[in-house]
Amino acid sequence: MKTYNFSFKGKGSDFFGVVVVNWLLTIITLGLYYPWAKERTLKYLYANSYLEGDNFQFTGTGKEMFVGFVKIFGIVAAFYIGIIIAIKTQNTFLMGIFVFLFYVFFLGIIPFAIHGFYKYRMSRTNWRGVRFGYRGDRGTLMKIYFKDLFLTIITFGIYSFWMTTDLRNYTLSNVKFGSAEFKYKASGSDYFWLNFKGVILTYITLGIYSFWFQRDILRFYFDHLTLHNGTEKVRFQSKLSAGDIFELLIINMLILMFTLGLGYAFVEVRTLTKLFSSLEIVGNINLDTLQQTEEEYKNAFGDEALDAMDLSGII
Amino acid sequence: MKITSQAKYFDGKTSKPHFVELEVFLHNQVTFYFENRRLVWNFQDIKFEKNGEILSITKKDNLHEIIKIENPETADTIYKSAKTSQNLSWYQNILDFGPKFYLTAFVSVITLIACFYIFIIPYVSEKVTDILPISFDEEIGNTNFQQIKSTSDIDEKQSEKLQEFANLINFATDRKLYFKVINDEEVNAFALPDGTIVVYSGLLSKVENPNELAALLGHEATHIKERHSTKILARSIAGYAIVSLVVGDVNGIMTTLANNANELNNLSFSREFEQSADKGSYAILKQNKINPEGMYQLFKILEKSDNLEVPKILSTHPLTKDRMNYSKTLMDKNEYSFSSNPELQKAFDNLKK
Repeated sequence: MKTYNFSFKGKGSDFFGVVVVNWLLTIITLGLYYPWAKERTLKYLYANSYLEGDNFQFTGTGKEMFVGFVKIFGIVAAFYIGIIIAIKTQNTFLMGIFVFLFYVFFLGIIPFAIHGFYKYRMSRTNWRGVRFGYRGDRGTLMKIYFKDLFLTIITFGIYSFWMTTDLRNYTLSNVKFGSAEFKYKASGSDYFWLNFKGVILTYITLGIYSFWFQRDILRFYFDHLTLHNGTEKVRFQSKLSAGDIFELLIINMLILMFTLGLGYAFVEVRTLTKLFSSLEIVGNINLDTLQQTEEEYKNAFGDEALDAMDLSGII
Repeated sequence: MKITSQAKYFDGKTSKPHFVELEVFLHNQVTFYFENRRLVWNFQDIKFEKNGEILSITKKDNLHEIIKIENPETADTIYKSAKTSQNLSWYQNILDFGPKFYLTAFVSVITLIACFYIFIIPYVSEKVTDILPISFDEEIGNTNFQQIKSTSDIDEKQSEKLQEFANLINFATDRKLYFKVINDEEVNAFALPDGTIVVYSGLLSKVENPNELAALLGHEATHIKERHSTKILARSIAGYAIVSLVVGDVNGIMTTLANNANELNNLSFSREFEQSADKGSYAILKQNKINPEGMYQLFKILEKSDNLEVPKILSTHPLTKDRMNYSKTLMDKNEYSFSSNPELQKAFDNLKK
């Protein structure tokens, strides 16, 4: 058994440079630079994430993401134009249809987007030149999604905790790290009770418990994740304490407040540094033996669709 | 010139690091032996990226083949040679300008945004409003009115009487004004851009004389005359656009557009526009020789119904107290003589019956 070294070595001042140049170029190009700005940001964050002394690399390009962005923009714009026309002609029936279709589209595209996101993002991530990959099947993911969505609706949202874990179990268990593969095994009822307890105690303690609640959620994210290579195995454990979270959040908030949000780059770097350093990775996989097994995938539609719907957080 | 260096090489097939002896012909090419073959990478076919003190070199046509030079000095020499031979991307070159450049860029961005907010957005929205035909206001207002109509209880009889009352006042505008009364306890009134002025019965029941009602209608009519709704709409779209651009969240603009279209009637006027409407109301009172005390009394009614006052800086409406003081100074000016208007009084009594 060995403990693997995992750390974020980015510097606030360097990342600030990346962010400012992005702002500048985005403004000058009236927003068209956005996908390239995303590329630069991801490249910086990946390149400063180190595992066993070697960094990760994001090989996606602004051009790929621009194409994805144009597609999703086109679809949303089409709906928007339809709704405007309906409003203009005061056609309530047409308007109803458009709004209905829009919601159906919105709900229906989520599993597509999640699938696409993983395919694209994983194929564009590598460490020591070995690509990650996603081997999930879109149909299976859709089935899980719609079944769970239905159950969530008829239980007035209670089932959403099982939905979250089901989706995570499926997607993360299909992520490959070269020839090694991730497994994620979490139970919906554990997640439900964790949230149940967290919310109630947070109320009772007037918010003080929220730091422990956050700690438990992070633990839940990481502690059910393992990496397998043949019979060898690596497990992950979050060692972030409630005190760490308290300190992290308070100082982040102060930075953002006193810089009017401009210190965002420093906040991001601080957070990642802390998060990475408190992640314990222990196991017996020989990381020198990973093989290049995953194919390249260039379609960034899913990545952009999740972004457009502000849903990047659900991954 | 040639330098040699230890380096790590990843062949893009496995994660195994291969330690190689690198020969670098500055400005020209990188060569090394791997599995008994001599590999040659020309500067124009490779990408240089520096992270901290480590230099990564990848092939442009296969980003998964990587050379890493971890000796800071050698890394720096090679990087500089790539720079002078113009084999760095423009982006790397920009980043290399360093902190001074970021700060200057940063300050210019902030100044640019501030200028936009303070000068350009109000100016542009004013101009855009001038260009947009009145029919635009009418269309938006009408869409809104249809929505309001379907959700609220319009008192047709009272509306007719209010219209009769208003017809006796000269609002000094070509725009057609429609007056409606809605049965609602709320002490409120508002104007839609198509010329519809809605007064809630809650406010109507509190109004005690024609002067007060004239002051209220004058205020709302000024919003329509000066096209405040359209200006606000233009401003908020332009404002959101800027914010979204800065945050890099272009997608957000779409959401904003969609929200704005639906929430037009929730848009509140800024304090500036409210003050302007108060001013316009006074001008209308003056032109019609109506006692300006009506305005003061109107604010008194509003003050009573405002049980919770929001501090001025947070509120879009000027504080009622400030408006009372303003109307008091106007009243004390004694700029014009007024007389009671029996016709107006009659229409008012009819409305209050």
